[in-house]
Amino acid sequence: MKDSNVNIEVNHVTRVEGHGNIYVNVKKGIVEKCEWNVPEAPRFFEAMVVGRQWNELHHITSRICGICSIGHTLASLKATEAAMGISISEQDLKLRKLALHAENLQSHLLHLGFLVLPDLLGVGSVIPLASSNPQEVKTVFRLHRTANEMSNLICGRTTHPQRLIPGGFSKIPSLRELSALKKKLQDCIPDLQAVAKLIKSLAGKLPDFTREQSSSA
Amino acid sequence: MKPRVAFFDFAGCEGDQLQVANLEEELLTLLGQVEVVSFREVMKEHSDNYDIAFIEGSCTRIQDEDRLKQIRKNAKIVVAIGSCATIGGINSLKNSRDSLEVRRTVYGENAKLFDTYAARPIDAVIPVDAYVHGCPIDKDEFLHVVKSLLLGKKPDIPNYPVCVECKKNENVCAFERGQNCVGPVTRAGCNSCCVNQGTICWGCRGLVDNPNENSHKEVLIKYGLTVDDAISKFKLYFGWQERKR
Repeated sequence: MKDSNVNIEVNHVTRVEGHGNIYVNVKKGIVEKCEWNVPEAPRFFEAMVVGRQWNELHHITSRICGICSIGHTLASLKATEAAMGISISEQDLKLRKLALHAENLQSHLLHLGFLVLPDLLGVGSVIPLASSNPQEVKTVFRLHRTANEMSNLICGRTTHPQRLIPGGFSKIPSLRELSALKKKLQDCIPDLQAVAKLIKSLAGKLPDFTREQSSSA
Repeated sequence: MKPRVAFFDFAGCEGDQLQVANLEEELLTLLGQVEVVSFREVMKEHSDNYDIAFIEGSCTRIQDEDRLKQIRKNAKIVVAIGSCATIGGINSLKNSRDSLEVRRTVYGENAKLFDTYAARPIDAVIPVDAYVHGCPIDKDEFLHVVKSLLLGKKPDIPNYPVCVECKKNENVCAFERGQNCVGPVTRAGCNSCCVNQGTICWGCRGLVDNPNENSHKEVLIKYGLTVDDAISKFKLYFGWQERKR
């Protein structure tokens, strides 16, 4: 590595939420430039919420990110409720945890199936995989749909949820709907195992990456 | 040859492109009809040779106008997807405040490093041929618009208020629940999805072409709300549209 020259210009990183560029320049083993560049337009959410009503804040900050809007909504609700001294019922807390799990499940499947898997199988996107590995893609799509159905049932929508409001919920799923969801999630286990097995079988293709850790880490 | 399509994003949350990914199995059917040549959130490849450009997000900086103009030059059809792109959306909340103050609120003494101007929809910068409204967009409406464009037809987008759909759905009126709703002036097509879930219409699909202001005022008066209450709610999504009116 001592005498190596490296010139990396990634203009922009793909298959991620948000815009980022990477510039690395190494001459004879000496790093001359190492930049992580964020060219996307700032949004100014902290300024957007000034002067707005307490029951609109979660709706606004949900728009920080469409991929993890449930997380942003829940964080905002926690802040609003803490500021106003509101405590929510145990049932609502459990339902909110289900909402978060639904989003995590959806997000992890999107990450592994749509964004990482193409790299591990040596193609540029999930689109060619649909013809080269139709079974795997269909399994991921099936699981992804179930995760979205879970968000829909708990939150009233998968992206920018509606039912989550300060103090609890505007509407809750029925016991029958929750039982059907439970059954559906249990039925997902073979598919989930298939995805885990697939990723494990390809794990050797992940680059051998070790981070130098500072003592404070 | 299949039409070549590309996806682009400006200031927004990328939630509309997620709805395209959420098409799941239907996405595979769609991919049989079009060739996706650029979609940064999903694929590595990129080409500037495309027929239809889908654009998400608002334009919030002068330097982003050049990128938009280039997309307009490359594409035969430009489609704005999601509130930020169609009407300016939630981004335009900051438009009513002083720009430097907005930047200082977030970035303090580094405010000047972060360019911004009044958030605006795509058609404030370049001509737009079709719109997929909503925050987020509805994936079925997205499919309807794509199908219409592929068939050379004008997409059928409602031009009546959300109240029409809400009444059909037999919801208890949000005003009756003591809330302040913008359904009376907001473009329908969402099947009143938010009110169905027990909340209000926030206005994400924008104003209908000819909103009945007098009737809206009557509703506000009936429920003891002021014009200021209504204007405050208008600011959530209609910031840019109201400025133009």
